[in-house]
Amino acid sequence: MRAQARRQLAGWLFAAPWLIGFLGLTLLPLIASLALSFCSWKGLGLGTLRFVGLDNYRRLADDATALKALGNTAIYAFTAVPLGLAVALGLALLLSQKRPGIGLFRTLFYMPNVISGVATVMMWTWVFNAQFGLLNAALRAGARLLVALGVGSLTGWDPPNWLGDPAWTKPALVVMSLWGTGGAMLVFLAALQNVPEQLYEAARLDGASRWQQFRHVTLPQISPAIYFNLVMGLIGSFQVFNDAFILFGGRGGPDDSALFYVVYLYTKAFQHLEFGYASALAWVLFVIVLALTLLVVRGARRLVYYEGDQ
Amino acid sequence: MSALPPVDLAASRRAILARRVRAAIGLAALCLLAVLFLAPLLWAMSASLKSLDKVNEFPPRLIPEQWLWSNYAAALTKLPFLVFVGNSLVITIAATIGQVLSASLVGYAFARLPWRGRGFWFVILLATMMLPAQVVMIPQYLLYKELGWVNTYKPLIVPFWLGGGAFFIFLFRQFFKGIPKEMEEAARLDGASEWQLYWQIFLPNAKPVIATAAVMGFIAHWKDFMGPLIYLSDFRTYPTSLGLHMYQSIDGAWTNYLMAAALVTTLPLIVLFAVGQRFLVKGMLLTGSKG
Amino acid sequence: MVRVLRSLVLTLAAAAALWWLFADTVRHQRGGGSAPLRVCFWGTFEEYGMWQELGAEFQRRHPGIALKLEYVPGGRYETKIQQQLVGESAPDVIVYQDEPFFELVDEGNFVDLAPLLDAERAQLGEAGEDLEAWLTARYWPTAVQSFGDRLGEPTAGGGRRWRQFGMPIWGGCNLLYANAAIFARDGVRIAALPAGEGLRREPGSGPGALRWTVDDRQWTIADFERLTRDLTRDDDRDGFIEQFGYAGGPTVSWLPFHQMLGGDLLDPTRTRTLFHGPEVERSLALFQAWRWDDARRIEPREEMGAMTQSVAFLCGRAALFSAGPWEMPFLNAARVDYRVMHFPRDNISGRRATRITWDAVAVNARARRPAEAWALVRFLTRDRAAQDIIARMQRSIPGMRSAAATFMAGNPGSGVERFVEAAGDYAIMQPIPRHGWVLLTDAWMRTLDRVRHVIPERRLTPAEAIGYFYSQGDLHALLPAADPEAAKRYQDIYRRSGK
Repeated sequence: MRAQARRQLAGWLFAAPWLIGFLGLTLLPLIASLALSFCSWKGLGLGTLRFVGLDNYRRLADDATALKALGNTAIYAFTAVPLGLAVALGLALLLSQKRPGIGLFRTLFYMPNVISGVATVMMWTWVFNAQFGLLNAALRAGARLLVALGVGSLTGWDPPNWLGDPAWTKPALVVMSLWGTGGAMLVFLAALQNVPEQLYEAARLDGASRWQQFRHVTLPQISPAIYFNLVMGLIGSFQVFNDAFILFGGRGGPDDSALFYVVYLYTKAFQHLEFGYASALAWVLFVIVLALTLLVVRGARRLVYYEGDQ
Repeated sequence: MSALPPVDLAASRRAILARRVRAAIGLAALCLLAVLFLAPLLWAMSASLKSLDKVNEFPPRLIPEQWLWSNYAAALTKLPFLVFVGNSLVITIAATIGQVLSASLVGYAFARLPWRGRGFWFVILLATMMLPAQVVMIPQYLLYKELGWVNTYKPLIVPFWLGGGAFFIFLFRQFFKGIPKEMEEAARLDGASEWQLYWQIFLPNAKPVIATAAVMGFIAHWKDFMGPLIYLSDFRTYPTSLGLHMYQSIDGAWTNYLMAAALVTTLPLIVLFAVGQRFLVKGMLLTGSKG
Repeated sequence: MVRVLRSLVLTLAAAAALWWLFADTVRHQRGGGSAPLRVCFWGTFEEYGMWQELGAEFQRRHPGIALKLEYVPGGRYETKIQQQLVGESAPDVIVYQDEPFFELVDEGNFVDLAPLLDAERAQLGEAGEDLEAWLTARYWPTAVQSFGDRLGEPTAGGGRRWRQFGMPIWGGCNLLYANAAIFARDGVRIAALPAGEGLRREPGSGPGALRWTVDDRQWTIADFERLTRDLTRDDDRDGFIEQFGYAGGPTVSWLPFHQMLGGDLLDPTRTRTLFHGPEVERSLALFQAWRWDDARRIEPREEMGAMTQSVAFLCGRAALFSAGPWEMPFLNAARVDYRVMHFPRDNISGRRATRITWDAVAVNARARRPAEAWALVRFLTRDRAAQDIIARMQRSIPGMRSAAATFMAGNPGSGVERFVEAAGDYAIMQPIPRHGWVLLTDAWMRTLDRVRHVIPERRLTPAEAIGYFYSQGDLHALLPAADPEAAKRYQDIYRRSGK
């Protein structure tokens, strides 16, 4: 009994730093932003703050641009997250080998997350350039190779105009996000290191192939990390901002194809000076992401295996 | 006494060959991808050595015509970079230590301690990450202003000692949940207190995740631009992330100096990562009766 | 013993932490304390150096005032100032641009400087004149109007008193920069021509021989088109242009042409949109033609990648481009040889126009020491020494007219005096509404994007584009159309086009 009570208390004490921080520093601004979503405000001084009830939310329901932004974000998220997980896991598997100099490769693959935004975006603007960019040059070379091998013909084919064609701007951003999966890769690396070697040996003794080992040993053992990266990826991709904002100069790209929800929100808040409306936009996003995350959490109960739960 | 199975020389040679081919392909894939991932670094290096009119030329030339090493000297002396780096170190180290410590504490609470409302607070924890920061910026600024913390380092350090952000708490939770119960039970039988359990059993076994959190946290704080921009006004207190932007303004950018300074200030991060990733080694966990 | 010691150390540490956390809180809540005079500004390290000079000079004149420079690096100046204004912790003196200026004025953030100016005029014995006229004589008319307004309090005589919310500190207008190296290689010379002739074809041919003489004070848009078409080259015939005659851009780069063709975005009251009529259609048609007729010759776009028009000019890919004096520090640092040229005139009306923009220095309404703040503002904008420091930076026309000589003295031979000429002659204010500048420019940029769209099926004709502009709901909620009937007609055209 007393031990139980002591553990309860310990739980509260250990969690106290975050609880204090949340109640003291985070909760008030959150409530304030919720309250702002029911107001109209320019954000330049308290004079223009007015209560407008549900007007912002009503307006949102009719806002075609907001809906388009939400659609763009959803498409991006549902593409980038699964692909990102796969790429991160693949890289982590490659990098978990015990090979001399593997540290060098790990460092190299994490480079994108270390270099700060300015250089990255300038570089990508060049890589994606339709005429001279690295990507299209590679695609053209590949196409020429295929033609030389007698597969298909080259007439009339042009690699995509990544930044100018509305159909290709989102794929371009997905490619950018894949390049930046260093964080998820790191988490997978750490998780892979924790998989006990004995399990693999036991599986090998049972005659399991590499693929079977992967499916039945690796995946379950790293499922906590998969769950983590999935939730983080989901939350993060719905809030994609920096890359899209800088790459397209703060606008939505051709035909608003790269207008993402938080970019639209930022524009409304700080450029069109409609802070109340932007807050409403933010809270709608919050509800959507929360719903999706709860779905994942529910699924995790069945699918995620924790070594420590028995 | 068991008979050994007959050795099939051809098969084992095939197996060795197959392993070598796999290793070679793995290496080739690594190298190819490495080039891709290195690309911005190469571009930044090449830009840092060019004169201003050649930096954004089109089509871009990777190898500069003239290697202006003087750019580095200029970029690092036009601004007081030592001061900036010193400030960055103070902020980043203070914030990262706090973040790793408190995130591991709180993550442990979510992972291994039964306390009422744990499930509820976990959802709240995740939920704090779901609201775009842009709409919380102004209310948060007002809060910090009332606390008198504007124009100090406190808004950049204190929040990270109080939980360090949901990301790392969640990360630690996942890893702590993966540590087998046997270890915990064994220590408990020996009469360990909660704190001793945490400090002497769980934390030492979490080296990979500590390294991950420390490295990721350090890099994130080092690169943070908006935080220092909003909360700092004293030139001498600026970290490098702000200092770099002295080469950029509304009207244009000194891209070559910017890249030179950015590379130099990024070097410590690369070194840090190279050192930190060594902790991503196989854990020393022993499983019980698994398998 | 050890345990007592450990508890003591922990308690001390906790006390120290609490003190560190909350000492500032107590200090802040109690208020007071002597704070220095704070001024904030943006820019690169060069501007920072300039402000240090200005600060030092100010301290020499006012040794009793403690001055603190708050420098905001990077491109997010407005975001930071807005936060500070909401938190009522903004500096005493704020440098601000003209486009969003009145948003802040209407929030009551800036002090009306007219009474202070009147006091000064009384001291100088120049009180007889109307304040606006007095200011206009010493500064540029567009500058005074950008930060002053006559919607002030009514005076006894039934008029309205002029209010000045910011003093113009510096600014500049867009003009054309010519790449001297390209001009020399392709045989173009800038020189005066007999009256009525703007561009003359010279008999030379071959590299280096004189092929054109252009008088940029007289040339017309037709001359401009002729010259730039000649300077646009696709020498290796691969379909991609190596050299652009004119590297133009949308919105503010197009505004000079738009204005000289008689187009506008707003009506004269600056409260309603006025974006239709033959002038506007002509402007849009020209914008489209320069992009798509002549087989994509004159204006660079997606081909240029990360290269903006200024960079295209910097690396010699464009013979001409349009920018203001703020481009000069970069051009000088990159050692690009350039000449400044006037904009051409409209063939039909003979009118010239260019957009001019000013930055002002204003006093925060919540400044603790308004007298000291005014002393700083006075120094920056009425003291010749400060204006000379600004002029020597060669990045903008100084606010005071008398300091223009210093500006023109730097960089002789490159045509910088044309900035001053244009500012006094044909530069006109941008169509800045009191509220919604960003909304307006966003809508306009979208319209221009649709006019020059890459996919032909999505490209709008001028009439359809006007309808598209009038269909931007958010904009027209804030700035309704001056002529709703016409707007509706154009909207129908756009809707029927199905694009």
